[in-house]
Amino acid sequence: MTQLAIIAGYLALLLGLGALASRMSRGTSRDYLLASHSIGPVLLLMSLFGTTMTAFALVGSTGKSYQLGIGVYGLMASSSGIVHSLCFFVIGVKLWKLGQKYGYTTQVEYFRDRLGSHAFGYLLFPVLVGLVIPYLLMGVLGAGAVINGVTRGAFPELFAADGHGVPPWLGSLVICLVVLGYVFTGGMRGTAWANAFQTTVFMVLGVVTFVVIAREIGGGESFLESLQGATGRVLESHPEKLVMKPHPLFFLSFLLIPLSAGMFPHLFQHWLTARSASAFKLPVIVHPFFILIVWVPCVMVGAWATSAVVDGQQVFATPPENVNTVLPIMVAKVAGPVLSGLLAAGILAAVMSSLDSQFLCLGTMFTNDIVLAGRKGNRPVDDTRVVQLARWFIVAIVAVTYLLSLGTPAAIFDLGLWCFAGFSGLVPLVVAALYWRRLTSCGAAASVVAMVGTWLALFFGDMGVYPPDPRYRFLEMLPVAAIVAVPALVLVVVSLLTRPPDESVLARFFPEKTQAPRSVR
Amino acid sequence: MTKRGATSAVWGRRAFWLSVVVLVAIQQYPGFWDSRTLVLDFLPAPLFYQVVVTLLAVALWWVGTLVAWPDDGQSETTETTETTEATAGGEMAPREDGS
Repeated sequence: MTQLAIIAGYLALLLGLGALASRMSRGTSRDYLLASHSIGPVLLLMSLFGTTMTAFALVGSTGKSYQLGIGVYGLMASSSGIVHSLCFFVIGVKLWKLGQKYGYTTQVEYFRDRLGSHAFGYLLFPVLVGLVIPYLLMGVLGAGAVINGVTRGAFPELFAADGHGVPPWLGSLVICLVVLGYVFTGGMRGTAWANAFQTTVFMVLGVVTFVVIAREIGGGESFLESLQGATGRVLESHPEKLVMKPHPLFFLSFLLIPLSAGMFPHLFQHWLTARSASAFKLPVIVHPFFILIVWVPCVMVGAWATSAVVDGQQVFATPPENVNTVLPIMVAKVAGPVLSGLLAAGILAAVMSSLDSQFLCLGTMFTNDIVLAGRKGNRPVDDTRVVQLARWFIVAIVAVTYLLSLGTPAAIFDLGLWCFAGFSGLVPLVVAALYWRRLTSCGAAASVVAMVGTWLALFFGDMGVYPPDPRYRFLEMLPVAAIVAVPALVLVVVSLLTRPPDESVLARFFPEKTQAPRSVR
Repeated sequence: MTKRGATSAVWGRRAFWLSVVVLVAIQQYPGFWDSRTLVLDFLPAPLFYQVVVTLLAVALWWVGTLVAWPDDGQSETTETTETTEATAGGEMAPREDGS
């Protein structure tokens, strides 16, 4: 019960933060959606990192490391350290500049302008929403698993089927309602603040979790001896968890997964909150280091969990049915109720710091790309009505996601690989839009259709199972390789075969190449 | 900018992007995958290697912001067309992180 009280207190704190941000609001939709482009480098770093580090990074990585061993860090974390910053560098700064110049709030607004095609927005919008839903699902599943994991045994008379802990369906529901609460009251400013606060919370408590777990299962006088003891146990009973054995092509294909950050709609919206282009410098540099701080402990804890012994009993005598519970169960086993509650709040912070941005972004996309874009003539806009519509759409999507979470729980890591593969498949489109004048609306549309077709064909046609099969390979690589390559090829071929875009459109997006060349002074 | 300075900047950018490619190659190098060495007797060598790659990435992106930053103008936020702004009023946005 103590754990639950601490978690409840933390959730109340977040709702208070949302209310505080609401008091600072200027009451306009631009302030609600983009915090009036006022976010500086430090807040931008924290909010971008908090947004990209999801249940996938904490709950998913620990569970996957339990299954595969420490190689998970090489598969996802070190590649993300290179590729995420690359996306901020090559895509983020450029989109920020265009967003500033032409007043964009969403990706669809940019693509409509860049391609000179209003209809393209109606193709891209459902695809983006369709990909955000499994992303949300990871957070909702992760939240339910964490609360269940740390409260197991807290209700001896209740919830026998869920280890006498809070059932995952209930934990997920509460987290959804809390995040909806502070997003609705605080908008983007509240979300950015909550992200920064929660990023700090989960990084600090993440390190504390690591130290506590190491001390408990490793023993030893000093911290170093604890680390040596914990790894030593793995070396004795599961040495295969301490090496990497991926097929080189399989390993290579993992580089394409973090590329997905280039097309996350919520990340796009966070990019636009930046006060200046130079505000991106700090996130570009520090983001890989933050990844290291979060992932190394999680991956080590996952490997240690295979051989961990607490009070003379093996923590996982048999592999858990749901690998998402590895981290929360480890926390619950080694920490007392107070610390366990605090550590759980830290894990939930990571989960919620992504959910909030995604919720807000969905509302923004719906109002801007569908409602406002579909109005006829120059009818005046009721700002309050815009914000209300955004909220209703968010509630609808969260309800759908929540219902999906009630089905068979997928391993978050494997679900993430498929979800991120879809976003990665759209990255050739945004790169071409930014850097290739010859891109046409037909090429862009064909590329999106090709991405969706390839994704569906591989997922339902070839693999055909849910939850996703973690052993699945296509040509020895992750499906993401095909999901990126096919749309990229289609984009180039169809663009070259169709009429080049109008010079008037190109002049807006490539002004430096349409002006007469100037000599260097 | 002088012609010499411009040429130097171009070469700096090229060297930076080449370094990014080299870093990716280093990240993919499988030489330590099977190593059973434990660094400081607790950190598996394959994990240690990838941690070093991450630290190299930090250093490389820092260099990138110096020599290949895509926004030379250092543009600041300007008031843009705000079709949905009801109360713009031309006021400047407050700064939110004390930087």
